[in-house]
Amino acid sequence: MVHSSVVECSFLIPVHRDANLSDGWLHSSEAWEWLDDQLFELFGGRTLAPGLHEGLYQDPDTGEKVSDRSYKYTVALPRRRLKHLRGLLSEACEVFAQKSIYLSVAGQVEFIEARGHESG
Amino acid sequence: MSLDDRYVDLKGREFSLAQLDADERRLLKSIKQRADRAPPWHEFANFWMKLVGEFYHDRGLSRSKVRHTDLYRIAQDLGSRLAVAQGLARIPDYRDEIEQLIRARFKTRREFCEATGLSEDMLSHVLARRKHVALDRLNEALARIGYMLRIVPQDSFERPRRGRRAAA
Repeated sequence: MVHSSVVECSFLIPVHRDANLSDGWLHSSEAWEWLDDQLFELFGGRTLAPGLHEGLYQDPDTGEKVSDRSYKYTVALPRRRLKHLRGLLSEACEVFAQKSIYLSVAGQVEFIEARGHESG
Repeated sequence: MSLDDRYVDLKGREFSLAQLDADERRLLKSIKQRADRAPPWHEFANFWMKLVGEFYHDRGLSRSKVRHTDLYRIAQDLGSRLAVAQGLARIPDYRDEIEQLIRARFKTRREFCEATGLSEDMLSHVLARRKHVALDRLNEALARIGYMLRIVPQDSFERPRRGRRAAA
């Protein structure tokens, strides 16, 4: 059966907390468990892609080039539920101590920020 | 309860395996066998969630109930152990628990500080791993919101046998 309104979304969670915003440490297992729980309850699960994805970006606050390694999560969900995923990732910015989280919705990229965070 | 009938997770929470029914025990056995082979964390994470999700879906359990079952939590903890062993995560400490408490019970850090009497500056340093808060001060702060510190067993720790004494 084809669900035309279902979109594939993927997002990246760096394995370290942001060194500028926080301490640059690995996340606790509890943070990953929190994400698991949310994705399971909201969308029935997720798929973790193999390996770590290397990334390089410019920190908007310090202007420094920052490299990180991230896990890539994929979830398929009805388009009308995208706001739930965006809300979850906004909360994930706080849990994983990130300024923003890279989200790709059917190939279109956006950066989700923590609630109340204003981009500069 | 014998040691074989219990599971202690990374946070020291104890689960009684005797509460699981025969099918749950069978499923847990196969999940543990897979974890024992030390697969990459992502592979195990995909494996257990699908298996446990489908198992309870067939029993008509809602997702919110599934994630509170002992089987789900034990499988998840086995995954967390792999993540820690593979250098992808660290074992949570009291600061992670404070963060989790703030998320679950308070709208903001400020609200938490007002309720506990801890200063925002102190909390910020503690959560950023720059400072520790004194035990008695933390206990006092937590008591104000109905929480307390507790010493829990560490599962991997080899306990001394009872009754054995050092030679004189």
